[in-house]
Amino acid sequence: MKILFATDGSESARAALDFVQGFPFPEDSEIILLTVIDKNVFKADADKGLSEEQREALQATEKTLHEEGEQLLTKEADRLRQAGWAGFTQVRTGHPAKEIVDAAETLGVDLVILGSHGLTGIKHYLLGSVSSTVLEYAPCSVLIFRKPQTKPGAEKEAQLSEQDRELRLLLAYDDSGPARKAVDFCAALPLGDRVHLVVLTVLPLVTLYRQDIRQRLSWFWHEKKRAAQDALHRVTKEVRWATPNVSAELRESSDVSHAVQNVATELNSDLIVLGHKGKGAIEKFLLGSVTTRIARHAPCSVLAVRK
Amino acid sequence: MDNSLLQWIGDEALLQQFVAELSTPTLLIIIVVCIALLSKGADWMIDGVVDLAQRTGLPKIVIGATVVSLGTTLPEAFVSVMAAYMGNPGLALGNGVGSIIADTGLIFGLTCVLAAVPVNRFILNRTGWVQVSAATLLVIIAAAALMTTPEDSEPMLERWVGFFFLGLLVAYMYVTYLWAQQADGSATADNEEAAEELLGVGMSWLLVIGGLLLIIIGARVLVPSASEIAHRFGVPDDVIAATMVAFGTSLPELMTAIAAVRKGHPEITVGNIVGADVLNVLFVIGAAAVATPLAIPANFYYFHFPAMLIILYSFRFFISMNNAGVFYRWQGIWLLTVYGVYVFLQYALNIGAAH
Repeated sequence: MKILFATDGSESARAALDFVQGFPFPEDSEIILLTVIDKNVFKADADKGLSEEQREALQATEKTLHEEGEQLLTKEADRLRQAGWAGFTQVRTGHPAKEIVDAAETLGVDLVILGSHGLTGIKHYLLGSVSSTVLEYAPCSVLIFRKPQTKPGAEKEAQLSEQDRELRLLLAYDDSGPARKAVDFCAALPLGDRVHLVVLTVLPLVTLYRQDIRQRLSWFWHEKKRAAQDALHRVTKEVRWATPNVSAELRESSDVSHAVQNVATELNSDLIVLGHKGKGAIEKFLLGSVTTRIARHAPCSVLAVRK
Repeated sequence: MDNSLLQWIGDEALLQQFVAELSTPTLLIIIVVCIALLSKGADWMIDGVVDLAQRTGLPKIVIGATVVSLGTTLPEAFVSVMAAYMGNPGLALGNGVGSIIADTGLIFGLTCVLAAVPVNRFILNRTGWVQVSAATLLVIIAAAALMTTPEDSEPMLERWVGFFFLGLLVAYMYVTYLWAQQADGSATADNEEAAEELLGVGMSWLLVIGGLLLIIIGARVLVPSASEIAHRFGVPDDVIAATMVAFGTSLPELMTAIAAVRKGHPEITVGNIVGADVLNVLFVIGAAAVATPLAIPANFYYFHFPAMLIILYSFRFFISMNNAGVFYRWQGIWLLTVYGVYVFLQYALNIGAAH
């Protein structure tokens, strides 16, 4: 698997790299470390009113930043190499989100990984602007790392190295094309014994004006529920050979993304895996995509599988 | 506090949770308050409509068919679009068709029994035709879908049908506006009522819109509260579904009808029902089909569509036969009977099974 890891030296990015090292990627994976120097800071080209001196100063700063970027990447790359990863580094200049998407395209990677909030991300927002743009426009799967809230008893666990720690995955499945892609993605990973995988289906229920009472009584609903159970059964069988610790959950809710987040909180999940649906303009206008909403509000990291 | 109140109204899950935690006496008080809100809102709205009619010279029936209908079909539109989007096309379609049947059969039938409803032929002959045509068009498109769909897949109302209906809705609005302008000069019998002291235009609009808001909020809270109480008293779910839930989104129309009859303006109800029927097809089903293509369950072809057509064509027939200028009481009884049979069949024989 070819992975593009975007870092800006922020705390979030560093924690994300730890997470990546503990994640069961295939043996032959290679990782490309990328850092983007934000072009917005240097509008020098456009500004003609600058004196020669000022321009030189700017260029010097840019050069320093570039070097700092290189240094950061070399340091992180060393860390990865020690852990046995293959790969190379790249520094780009421009708009961060755009450069990350471009790099993913030209390098033909399978997965982009980045932290939920970089240096530019204001913690107040639920998802940094770079992460949400990459999630929307990347040509491949995107993993947005979010540092889990410290849970009681997590202290002890934190002392275990990432490789030994239990990893709890939540696979949101709805029997659609993209969701099946997410299943294939998981089934192709060497998950192993330390991974616990829960496959979750949430059946949408219309609760307005208590239509749910009506809905639950109808044959249509029963049929849908049975079909969902069958599909869950099929999927658990499919991923079972990747890890023996697989279980299924079926929930009913008026708000699918909310329900997925709730289950993730309940199960202390480390990562939510879901298929990214390219929604049409009308759906986006009406409700926004479930993937985006989950990525925004999730209590943990989110992997949106695309392609 | 303000914020959480808004959330209860917007988020049904929160509302239901809140209702479930209340004690039975509190719930009963809430239900009484909701009914009071509903009837107060309907009163305000009727006052506003009457005032607007006198002020603008538009017949009350026209205002009933436009502003009032748009407001009272909002719950249906909301439910249907959500249901369609969330992958329950049967519910979306059932809501639109079911509302037409409930509005025309139950609410209009009841109004005819309770009051002498004048037949304003000039208007009913036009808007009334739109009402019947819209529903007939829906059935024709559905039938065409059935015939062109291969055996193994379900017939669909495609997205283009939704856009087509919404386009027709715009055209209908425009034509109604033109008709209203014509009516302006000619049939203004309404205006002959002694022009008492009139409220300001702003005030009457405020009454109409404020009244509508009260009605919508009242119904929104009443349905889950009443369902919860019924549940606690051991009423089985399928009975709740066939009554309270099936009827929940038509509550605004019912309250409007009651207030209109009480205040002596039954023609507003006629307008409201006719307008709501048109909007249930063009607006509710149209918007739902735009949200997502709607599969048409088989029972619509042999149960819901025929029931809807019987009720609508009876209504149409009554308009053209009533030379006396009012709807007869027996006509109301007929509409009520058809509605009763429909509900009975749906419940007892379970062939309509909630869809």
